[in-house]
Amino acid sequence: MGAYVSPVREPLIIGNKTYHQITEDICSPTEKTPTKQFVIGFILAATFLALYVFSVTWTVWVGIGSWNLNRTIGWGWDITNFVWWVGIGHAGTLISAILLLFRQKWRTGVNRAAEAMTIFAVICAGQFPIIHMGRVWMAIFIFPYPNTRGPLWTNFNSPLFWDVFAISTYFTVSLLFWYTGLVPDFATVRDRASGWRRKLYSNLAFGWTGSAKHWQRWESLSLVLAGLSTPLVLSVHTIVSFDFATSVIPGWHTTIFPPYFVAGAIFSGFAMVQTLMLVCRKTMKLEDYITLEHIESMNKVILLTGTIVGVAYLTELFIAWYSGYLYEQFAFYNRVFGPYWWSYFGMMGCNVISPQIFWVKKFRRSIFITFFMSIFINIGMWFERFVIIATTLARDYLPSSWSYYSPTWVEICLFLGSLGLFFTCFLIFARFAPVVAIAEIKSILKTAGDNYIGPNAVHAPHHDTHSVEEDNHSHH
Amino acid sequence: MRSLNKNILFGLYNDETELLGAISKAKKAHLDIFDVYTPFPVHGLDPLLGLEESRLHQAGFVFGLTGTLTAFGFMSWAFVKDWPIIFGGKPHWPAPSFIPVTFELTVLFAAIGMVVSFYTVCGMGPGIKNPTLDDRITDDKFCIAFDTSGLNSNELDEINSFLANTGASEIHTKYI
Amino acid sequence: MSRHYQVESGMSLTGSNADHRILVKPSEQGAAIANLYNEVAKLTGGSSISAPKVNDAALGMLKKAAKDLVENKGKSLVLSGSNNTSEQVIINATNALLGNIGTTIDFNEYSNRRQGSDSDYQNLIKEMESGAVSTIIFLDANPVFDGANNAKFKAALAKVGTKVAITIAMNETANVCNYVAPCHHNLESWGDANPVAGNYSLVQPTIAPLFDTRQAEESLLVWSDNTMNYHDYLMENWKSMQSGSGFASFQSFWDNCLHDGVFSTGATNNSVSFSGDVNAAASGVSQPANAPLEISIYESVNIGAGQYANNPWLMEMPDPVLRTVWGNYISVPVNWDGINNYTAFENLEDGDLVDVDINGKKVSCIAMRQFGQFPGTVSIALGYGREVVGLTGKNIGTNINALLEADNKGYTQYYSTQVSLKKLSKKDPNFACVQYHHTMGVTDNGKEENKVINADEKILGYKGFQGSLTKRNVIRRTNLNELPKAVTELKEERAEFKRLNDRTLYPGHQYKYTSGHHWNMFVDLNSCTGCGSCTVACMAENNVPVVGKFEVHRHHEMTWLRIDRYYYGDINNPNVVYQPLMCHHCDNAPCENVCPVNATNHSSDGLNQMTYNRCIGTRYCANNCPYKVRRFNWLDYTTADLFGINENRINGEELPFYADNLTRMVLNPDVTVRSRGVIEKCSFCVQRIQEGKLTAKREERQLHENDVKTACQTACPTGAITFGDRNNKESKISKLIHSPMAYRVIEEVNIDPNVVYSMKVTNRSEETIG
Repeated sequence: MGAYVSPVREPLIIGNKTYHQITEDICSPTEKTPTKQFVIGFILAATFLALYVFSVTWTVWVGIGSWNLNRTIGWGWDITNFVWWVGIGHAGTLISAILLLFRQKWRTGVNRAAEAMTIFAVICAGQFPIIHMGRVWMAIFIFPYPNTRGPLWTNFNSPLFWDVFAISTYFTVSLLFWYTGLVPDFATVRDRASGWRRKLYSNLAFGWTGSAKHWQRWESLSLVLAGLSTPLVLSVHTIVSFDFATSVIPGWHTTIFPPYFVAGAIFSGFAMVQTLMLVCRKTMKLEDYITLEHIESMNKVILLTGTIVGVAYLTELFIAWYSGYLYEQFAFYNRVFGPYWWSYFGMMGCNVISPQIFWVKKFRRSIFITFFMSIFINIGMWFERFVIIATTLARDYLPSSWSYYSPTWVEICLFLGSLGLFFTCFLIFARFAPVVAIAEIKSILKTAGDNYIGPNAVHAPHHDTHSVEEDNHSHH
Repeated sequence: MRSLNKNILFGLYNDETELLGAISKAKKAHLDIFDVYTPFPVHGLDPLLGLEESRLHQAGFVFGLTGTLTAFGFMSWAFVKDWPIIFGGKPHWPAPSFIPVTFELTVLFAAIGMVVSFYTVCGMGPGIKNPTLDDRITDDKFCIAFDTSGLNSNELDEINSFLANTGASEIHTKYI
Repeated sequence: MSRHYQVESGMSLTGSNADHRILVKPSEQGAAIANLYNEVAKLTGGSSISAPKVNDAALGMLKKAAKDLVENKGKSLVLSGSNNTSEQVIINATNALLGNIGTTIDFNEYSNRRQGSDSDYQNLIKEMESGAVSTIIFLDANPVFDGANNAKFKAALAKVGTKVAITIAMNETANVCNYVAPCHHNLESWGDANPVAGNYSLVQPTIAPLFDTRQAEESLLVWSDNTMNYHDYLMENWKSMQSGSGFASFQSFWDNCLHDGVFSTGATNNSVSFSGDVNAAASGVSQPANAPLEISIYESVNIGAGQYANNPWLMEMPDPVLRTVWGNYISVPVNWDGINNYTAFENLEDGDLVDVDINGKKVSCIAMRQFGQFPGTVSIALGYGREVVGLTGKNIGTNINALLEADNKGYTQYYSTQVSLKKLSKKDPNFACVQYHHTMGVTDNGKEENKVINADEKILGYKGFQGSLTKRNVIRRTNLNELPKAVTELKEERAEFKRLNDRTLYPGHQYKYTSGHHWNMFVDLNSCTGCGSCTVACMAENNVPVVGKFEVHRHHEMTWLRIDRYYYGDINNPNVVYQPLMCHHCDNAPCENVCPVNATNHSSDGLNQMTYNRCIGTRYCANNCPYKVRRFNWLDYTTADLFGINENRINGEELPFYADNLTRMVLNPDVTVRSRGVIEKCSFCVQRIQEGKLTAKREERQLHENDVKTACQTACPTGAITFGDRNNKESKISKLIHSPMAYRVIEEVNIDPNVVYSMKVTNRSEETIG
């Protein structure tokens, strides 16, 4: 890749940073004593985590009857939460992998935290399919392991079985990708540390030295992992959408789900990244690395994916009418006018109407609006999954079994508790690991730092490098 | 910590452009560089050093292919040969149903395989400590290192002056 | 085809199966009877009697009914449940005019049941009050609870010196007696019966007595200083029947009777004719009242007059019409506002609490909206609200029995015209009803020029929001005169479904199930009366847990077989169709595809199998079932799991219902008891299928269709359910499923079910349609 940068690009690193300054800025939250904000946040998150553990224990002890699911509506908040969390996780992979493939430099400000968010979101997501089982102590049956009962294998036709592989692959690959990226940064922290911290980071850094050959392999690995992760992230939420699309229930059985779900996942994931980044950059003083450019770029992605989701909603309505299939038509009348109409309008309002304000540049660059929008979007996306799951199941083919569902305290606590799990993990991550990708930021300093490009540039991009790069096109 | 039992003479630079300039000069002077260390991947470094392209991609392909065959083969065997069962009227070999798991295992095997290969080939892993030359290399210093074992004093001087002339801000030796 | 007219105020089970319902107030029953007699008399040359006025709509229908009856002289039947002797005399006279005596009314094989007289019972109260009774023995009777004027009875009983109750369990009457003689259960007893003239049957014990009890008859023998034991006494009693039986020795006669269970001496020969005084009877007919509200009181289908209140299966069996469980509910009329709303009397909603004043006594009830309830009337069932009963029935429902009164001749009257109802602002927090949507295409005359509109709810001016329900391929129904058209339509639709269903993802692939058995079930919607026997039989056979009112309130009922009840037709007087629904064992089962752990799959004889031990309870199969027939064990209903602390209570009992040893004797040892967290569903009684196959194998022959009968099939009184192997060309099922009226529910979803339904055909007179 040449060092040519278009003159319209705004800088992605501001504050006239040097390499050393970057190291200082990003490592210091892991080195200084935690701020009061952090401690309060952590205690709050840990309390919700404790609530989560209690609710799970209650569920397993008493039974799924401690929830309000019933003979008609077998999935409610549990699977809604599952899909919601998985969807949130997709932004991290998109930022790390897809934006890497598209050579978008701005990803470097947010990719580390976003990938961490992915991993924690997938951990939270993976909780729900496990705890929603009636006999969770037999969960091992879902794996095709050799046994003396035949051997009895699993059902490879089942989307839930596909989910097991999809989620565990997604988790593993994301973890490997994230960790591989973290290794050089852990080495940076290690080399600045002493005492028990030196030992800790020494172990975490896997013996990284910074050797040129190792960097070469590292970049090669990152590229292939990105190339693998891209179809992976598309496939994972596609497979999650198959949980519904491969069924026969009207409102579930539709081929639009894979792209609709993937777009929605990216939409909600970016919203969650915004929520996290807006808080992180302020409390950890990383505004120079997570700039308004980053925020605006993410808002553009949010606008795009939100519009795709909105188009998908309208397509569903159109196809229900056009198909002439009376059960499908009824499924949509029921969504708009039935007993759950409020969740449908919540979904439409939060997901379709509200992101349209990002057409206005001023709003795209407003921290205040972005923060509240990011919360609304995630609420809207939660409603979307709730509409799909509970509304559809409540009224399907045979009117005699129509029913209604609203959650018990256990289900609500499980959801709130999963937020506790997520934020506890994220806060631990923010405390112990560099939240921004140190090495990657350094590598774009000369082409994206404000002392090199943009209106405040002091140094012009170095032209000596041209003579070197002219010789070869073989690297990226 | 493993010891390489080498005496290393190295110079630290403050900027990657200086580093790249120094390396091309070293190549012209036929100096035998032991290794180059940087805080971030520097573009243009690999071809200068004459590093071969990594074969991780090919390894990844092979691992992935293993995953594909394992997944598809196992599912086909289990459903067709080992214990055929009727599920929802589907045939015993429902190839479309096998696609998601096959794809996932392909990716999983490729990713795990490549990552493990990466750490193995680089000599890295949990708990492994490799000797480093200077703590600031992972911060903002760029390093060219020469192995001085078996070099006579003329060659040592050549290296020292080379480092000084190409703008190294510091020159040190270290036994690792 | 027969035609059934029902004259009533509320929707009874019988009435729901009628072709025409003639709506009258309870106090108009007598008027209806008298007017019907007059209409029949007009057409048959009899003389009319004085008849009170009945409402105009009813009169019009009674005229039509009379016309139909007379056109079918000798082939009709007029029946009434009235407890007014004058009204019954007029009924007899009507049947006589119609030539039914000796044809449809048979005095040769007459029933010996219901010979008790209400007025004798009221006389007993007077005798006890006067002190004329010193000893009383109760056998199989609980008048302190279920008799009319039971408070008076209880007070009078206090004047009796020796009160003995022979009973198997404590009840309200035994509770006030000085002596209780616990007797054997029916299944532990010897006995005989003569239910119908000329037909005798024997009762043998099937189990040795479980407790320290003594059979009632044995007790009576002991108290009468007879040293013979009852078994011998019984045999002695039958010695007189041996002559003419064709058996040489008494022992062979006796053994044969025990084996057969019944013995018939042949019908009697009675020549009977009507000789009552119709005119005198006309003056004794009950008079219509001008009351703003009347109530009709009936014995519920499941609990009767209260004798079954301690039976959890019957408590959990939904009332066929109301679809409610664990209690009695007062049915209030419903009306349609012409736009988009059903409103009920006093704006009541299902589950609202009401205070009801009947005959001056006040009770608290729970309301239920009832289609087809005559405006100005309400109905409620007897049998609930018992206080001295086992753990199941205690304090369940409202005690209406205490409000029953007798007329001046001593006959219990099952209605009252002194009724008022007040809506309270509370709701029953655990209102338990298993069905919330009731209509499948009810029509009403619209506000626009008498236009018939679909009266299902409308939304925002869009008509027929749920009107699309009428086109759902769930219930197919027609009237006799339109049957050929309906059959043709069905054939065309099925051809279209087949065309679409043939386009699969795996063309050319189809499991044929032709080499062994292929189990199918045929349900005739015409024969099904909705009685619910099949649902209870299924619970008994398959160890289906009873979950109690609170859990049913949460829609956690476990019944594998349910009978859906839908109203259709004129919203003010709808027809009803019942549809028993169980697992359809679909050949393209959507549930089998989605179970991740391989807990449900298809057998080679067409059954959808469920492996309880493998199920981890993800409930995807239940979600994917379009018939919603799969049931999940939400809690530890059966006390089968390891956690002792989380067992469900069905009525606040201390020891969980299923942990009690006596209760556990009811479990069928051939069927697994499922634990918490596992899905279960109808298995086509696979244990019976296996037993049938083994029997045939042992006898080294082919399986006959009589070898395997499912529990529901066996219990059905009308033969609505047929089960069998469609590959057996001799079986009934193989022919039934090809009937032109046979269809499959939501066949267009391409799940290929193995349960086939037959269209419901009513026989409404053509002039009344449209």
